[in-house]
Amino acid sequence: MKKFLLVLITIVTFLLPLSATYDPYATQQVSGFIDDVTYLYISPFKYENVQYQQYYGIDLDYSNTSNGHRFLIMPTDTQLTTPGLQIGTFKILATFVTSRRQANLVVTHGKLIHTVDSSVQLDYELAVQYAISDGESITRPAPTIGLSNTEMRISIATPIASVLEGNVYFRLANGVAATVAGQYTSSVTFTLEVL
Amino acid sequence: MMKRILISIIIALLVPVMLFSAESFFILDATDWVQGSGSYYRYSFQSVMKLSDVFEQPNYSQSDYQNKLSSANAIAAVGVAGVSHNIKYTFDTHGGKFVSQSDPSKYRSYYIVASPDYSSSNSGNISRSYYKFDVVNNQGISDSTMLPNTKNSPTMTYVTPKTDGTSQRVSTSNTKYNIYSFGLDLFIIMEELSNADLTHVAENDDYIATITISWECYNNNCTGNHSGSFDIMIRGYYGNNSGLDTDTFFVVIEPTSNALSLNLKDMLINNETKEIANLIINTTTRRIANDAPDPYEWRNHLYAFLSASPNYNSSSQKFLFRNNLDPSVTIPYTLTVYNKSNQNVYSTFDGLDYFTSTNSNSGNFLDLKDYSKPSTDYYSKFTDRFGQSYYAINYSASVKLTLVDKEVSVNGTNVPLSTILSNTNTYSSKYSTYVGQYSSNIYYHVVYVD
Repeated sequence: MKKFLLVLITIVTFLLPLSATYDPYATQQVSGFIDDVTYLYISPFKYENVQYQQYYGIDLDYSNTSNGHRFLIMPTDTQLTTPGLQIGTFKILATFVTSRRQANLVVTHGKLIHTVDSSVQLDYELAVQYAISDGESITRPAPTIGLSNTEMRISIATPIASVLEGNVYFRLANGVAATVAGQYTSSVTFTLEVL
Repeated sequence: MMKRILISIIIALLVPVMLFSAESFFILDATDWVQGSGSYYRYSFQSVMKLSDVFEQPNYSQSDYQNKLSSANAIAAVGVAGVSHNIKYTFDTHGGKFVSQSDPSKYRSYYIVASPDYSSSNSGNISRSYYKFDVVNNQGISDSTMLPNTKNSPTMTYVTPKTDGTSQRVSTSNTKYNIYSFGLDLFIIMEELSNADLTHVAENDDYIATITISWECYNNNCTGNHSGSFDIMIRGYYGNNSGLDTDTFFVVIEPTSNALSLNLKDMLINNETKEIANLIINTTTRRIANDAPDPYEWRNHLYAFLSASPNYNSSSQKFLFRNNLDPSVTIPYTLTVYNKSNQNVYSTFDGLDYFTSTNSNSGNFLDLKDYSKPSTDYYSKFTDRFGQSYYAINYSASVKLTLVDKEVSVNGTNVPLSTILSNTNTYSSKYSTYVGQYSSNIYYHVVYVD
């Protein structure tokens, strides 16, 4: 029987003392396994530098020159090539030491939907970029980018695979602009298939 | 058969605004150039660059000030003195990008320029006018000529003249000057960001650029050891947060490919150690003040060690891998910092170390003090024209992980964990408790004390 676990990694905020002694330390997470395991970690970002009615989020108005993210979320001339604003990270550890199985990561997302008027919907590009290790070497494939309601499928076909620095990005689709003020939400679904 | 896990993330997206603010940072002036007898001098100003800054391409017709060449974008100076050979320097920017460590799709392009200087006196007296005559090719350079740079190619070379007094600079008025030392001040150039550039620059504080400088003798039948290389690493940030308390030193961890997928069972059974990271500690070349009688020595201010605690002044727990399903199931380990090239061990840590005082005997600290060690672990040192010496730490070492084969109680008898893992039938019940994924955090402390 396979066991699966989802762990949301807490984003740690570092507070450092204001004194003559300080310590700009670096942190490294290491992980290992005993026997065959399959784990998927998702860590969405929370952009707290904008606030609207007690909710935090990303400013979608890229026409606003004060919007620090505007060039990362606005549609690009060459669509589906440049990942935009990072909205989360993910990690996968899939070890098939004894069973020699394989896994796929499938990522899908819907449109951004206005929370008050659901007829207002915005298409966007979701990009996934990662480095994958087989325990010996690291490869960094080109980012996979998909529009709303498309399926992105990533093969994880090594005996020991750890996805390092898996990042998730957001950018509005070609020709899309947020013109109706308010709050928008969207769901992103990560599916780890063990074959 | 296919199994699925569905994870849904709700991402809230809203509408207000963000702010930017300016922030200054410290870097020494590269115009305090080197002089003296001997051969090669090298020193570096590794520091932190604000990537929204703009430094335009300089040319010979303008002053330092007009060219915006200053302490704000000076990164290093390299040079040679008293050597009867031409020396060929090679500068490699490895693509010329500051790349975010956490998000490699984000980068800020840059290139470097080298501003040539020479001394016509063997006692110092560095000229600060741009070197407008090519002593190697013996030809004039027009004012509009750009300083040697890597704009169109990430790699450039520059051959210095002989610095034993036999080379001469010939000025435009045909005045000749003997050359006793020659140097290249290096500056970062970052052109104004276009809208297209801004699509791949995010507000991160972990951008890294590495410049490799190497040198070799340019003459045939050259005698003596006239070759070497070193890296300059520079951090960068975009946005209003540098992510650091200081811009005079920083620590960088480069994880190995297997650091997140260690086969703990095999490691224990086979008594294996695994390299998990490369540790880099860099400082600027710093001085106390212009007229200070003594150099600023980092050795008296930095204390580096590895710990299981994020607090530099306390730690009550050893390094432990914890089972993600049952955190009470643990496997202890130690970390050894060592020189990968010769396997020399610098220090081993069990997680319990912490900083107590500036007395170097008060804790298990990495030896950042011995600047006589080779390039993988050294202070770079230079002596200015006033005879003062300055030091910068360019520390690089590998880190390897060793599991501790702890004793586990099985029916009242202590059994090594490796025995349990290698005899799954005999210890099936206990074995099953250890199956799963394990994780642990390592804190690389570099404590600075005034």
